[in-house]
This record gives sequence, structure tokens and C-alpha cells, in this order.
Amino acid sequence: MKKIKKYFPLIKILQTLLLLITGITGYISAQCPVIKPEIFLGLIVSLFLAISGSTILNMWYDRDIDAKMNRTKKRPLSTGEVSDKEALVLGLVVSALGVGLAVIMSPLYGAVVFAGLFIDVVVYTIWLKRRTAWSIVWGGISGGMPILAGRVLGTGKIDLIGILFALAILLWIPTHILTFSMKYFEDYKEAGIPTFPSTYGNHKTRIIIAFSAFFAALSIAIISFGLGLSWGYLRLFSVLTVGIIGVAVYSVIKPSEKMNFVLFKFASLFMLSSMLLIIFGLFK
Amino acid sequence: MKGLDKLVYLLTVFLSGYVIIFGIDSHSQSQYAAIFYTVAFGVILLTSLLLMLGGNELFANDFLSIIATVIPISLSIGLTAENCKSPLAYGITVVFLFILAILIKYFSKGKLSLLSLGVIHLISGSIIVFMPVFLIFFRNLPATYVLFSLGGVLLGLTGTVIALEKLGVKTKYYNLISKYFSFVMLTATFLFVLGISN
Repeated sequence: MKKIKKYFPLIKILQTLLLLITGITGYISAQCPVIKPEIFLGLIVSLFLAISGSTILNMWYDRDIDAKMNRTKKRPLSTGEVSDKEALVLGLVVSALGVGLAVIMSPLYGAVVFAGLFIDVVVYTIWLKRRTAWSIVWGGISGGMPILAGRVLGTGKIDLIGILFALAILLWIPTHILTFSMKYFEDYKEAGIPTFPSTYGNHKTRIIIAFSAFFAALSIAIISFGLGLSWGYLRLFSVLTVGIIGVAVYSVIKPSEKMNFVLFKFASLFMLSSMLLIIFGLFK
Repeated sequence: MKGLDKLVYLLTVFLSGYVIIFGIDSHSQSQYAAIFYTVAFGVILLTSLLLMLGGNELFANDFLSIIATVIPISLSIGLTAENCKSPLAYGITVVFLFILAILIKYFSKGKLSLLSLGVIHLISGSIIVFMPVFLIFFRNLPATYVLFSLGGVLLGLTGTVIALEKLGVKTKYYNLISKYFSFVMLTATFLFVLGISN
């Protein structure tokens, strides 16, 4: 119990759960005539382990910059509460279990889960994050893998809807990450991490965020309509879409730290709500 | 903002969301009424969400006060679309006046800027409060429709106190309303929902 408490902060539970929900959404979107409990449970366990494993590995690799940032200097690796070796072993074991289970369930599903983990840890965190602000594109691609994986498990193939889902997440990522990097501008500067605000300035970053919100919402709208969600769910989705685009555009016209923070929170709620609307709209 | 306030705003979000998904189609046969009720409950949802995320300091935001005006406008257009033979005339008039009010708000100063939206609230608020009562007495609609009016009265009084505060007229009720605004939003929304579900 003590060890679980010690390691728990390593998995960033809210982020992990949001990604897991996207994976479940991808699976539900396949509208399988029968949802087998063992397959559904396997989806949840494998994705949870794979996402947690990649998060732990990211935290292990970024422990040096985490120690420099106010936001992250109290993380277990920064404080020494969890040793480097412990975190690395835990990350590798958890990742292997997640990917392994996924491969046993379905080779294609396992391949997509592995791709998400590899892109997140190797491409985004190890290779690009400290080199270029554009690393978030790869972060976005890895973020889109859970939903694609869920869809693949349900359909048995990579199809257009799965790709659109992954694209929607990729397009949403700037709204999430760029508002975050604006809020913690000084922290990222201190750690020497290139971000969009530090590279292109706040105004251009806000414009990108507004476009990101618009295109992410458009992608999800196309998917929701294509999946046959009822008008009631589409109406509510429209309301949320107007909200997020409105707040994003307002942040461009009248920028403020307050509205940036509101937009950051709203973006997460928007993604969560969209996923839940699809799940409840399709689940029979 | 206290956790309880956030929870109450969240309940308002859920209630509005539920109505948008399930309540509007089951209530209204009019396509136009459905659109405007969606807009009204949609703005209630978004306003509650923004207040939950940003705190009651957002009251002072001019843009939010413009957006909030959409609530009575949309509810009143929805009501007239359902129950009047020529709802278009009212709809066009109130939207035109709303646009005019926004222009006056941004291009004038002082009290005129603050009062411009008040006229819209008065017109649309009157429809929301009195039309259901009229319909109950003269068109034999169910008595529960009066709950719609009560929701309008509650929001109307609250809005009046907030507007007076902005005009520099201090009232003893402003602090009370600021403290319990989340409950006011939830209660008014609940009354609108009960009124619409007849």
C-alpha cells in the first residue's frame, strides 16, 4: 500500500484516465453487436498499463528538467522519494505488461498501442521535446493512439473513422498543451524547453490555439455525425463547440492569464465531454 | 470560489445538458422553438461552466454580460415561436434591438452603455414572465407552465440587482446574490426545465 502511494504520482492519473476514456470511446464507436466483458476489461487494463508505463518513463527521462521547474520540483523523482532505477524498472515493466497484453488480445491492436508508447517516449520525450517547439505534433500523434487503438480493437482494422479520431486528438493537443505552456512560461524557460510562446510569441500562440480548437471540434463533429449520434447529442456537442471556439477567439482578442487558464480547463472538459457524449450516444 | 459553488454550477451544467439532449424534442413540436431553447439552455450551460472554471469575478466581464442577454432573448423567442401565430416579427425585432444595444454599449460611455442591454432584458423578460401566465388563463395550458415565469422572475430580479450595482446604485441584496449566485442559476434553470416539461 505504501509503495502504491509512493508510485501513484508517477502515472499522472487525470491525464491517464482522460486518455483511457478516449480509448474506450474508440472501442464503443465500433458499435460491436456484443461487447464481451473480457475484451472490454482487457482494453481497459492494457491501455491503462501502456499509458501509465509511458508516463512513468517520460517522468524518468525528464527528472532533470522537472527538478528545475516550480510546477514539477516536488515530483517523486525530483525529490528523490522514488529512485531513478525504481522508476525506470517500473516504467519498463508496466509498459511491457500493457503492450504484451494488447498484443495477446490482437496483434494489430498491440501494434497501435506500442506505436503510441514508442512515439510518446522515444520520439516526443527523448528525441524532440528539448530540441523543438514542434515536438507537440508528435505528442499529439501519440495522444491519438489510444483512441485509434480502441477503434482497432472493436473493428479489427485501421479505418477512416479511427484515423479521424486520432486526427481530432492531434488537432486538440495544441489547445491543451499551448495554454499550459503559456501558463508556465517561466518554468519552461528555466528548464530550457523550447515552447511555442518562447519561439513564436504569445499572440501567434493564441491564434494557433483558436485554430486548433476549431479544427478539433470540426473533426469530432464529422465523426459524431458519421457515427449516427442522435440530434440531441449533436445539439449538446454544438453548444460545447461554440463554447470552446468562443473562449479561444476571446483569448486572442482580449488576452489575459485568467482566460488562458479558463481555456486550458475548458479544453480538457471539452475533450472529456465529447468522448462521453459519443460513448453514451452510441452505447446500447 | 468554494467547492460547493463549483458543484452547484456543475449541476446546472448537467441539468442544461440533459434538457438539450432529451428535453427539447419531447417538449416542442416547433423546429424554431427547439433551436432557440437549445441556444438558451446552451448559454446557461456555458455561463455556468465558465463561472465554475473562472469564478464569480467573471461577472465584471462585459462580454459575459452580453452573452448572458442571449438567455432571455432565446427563451422569449422560443416561447413566441411555440405559441404565437407570427413569431417572426418579435424575433426579428428583438434581435435587431439586441444588435443595436451591443453597438450602443461599445460606442457610448457611462450609464447609457450599461443601460442599453437592460432594455432588451426588460422586453424579453416580460415575455418570459407574463406569456406563460397569459397562456394558462386564456389558452388552458397546464398550470405548471407558471414555473417558467417564476424562473424568469428569479433571474430577472438577480440581474436587476447586479445591473444596479454596476450603475453605482448599492443595494443590500448584492452581496447575498454574489454569495448564492450559483444556487440562483440552478434554481432558475430547474424552474425553466419544469415549466418546459409540461
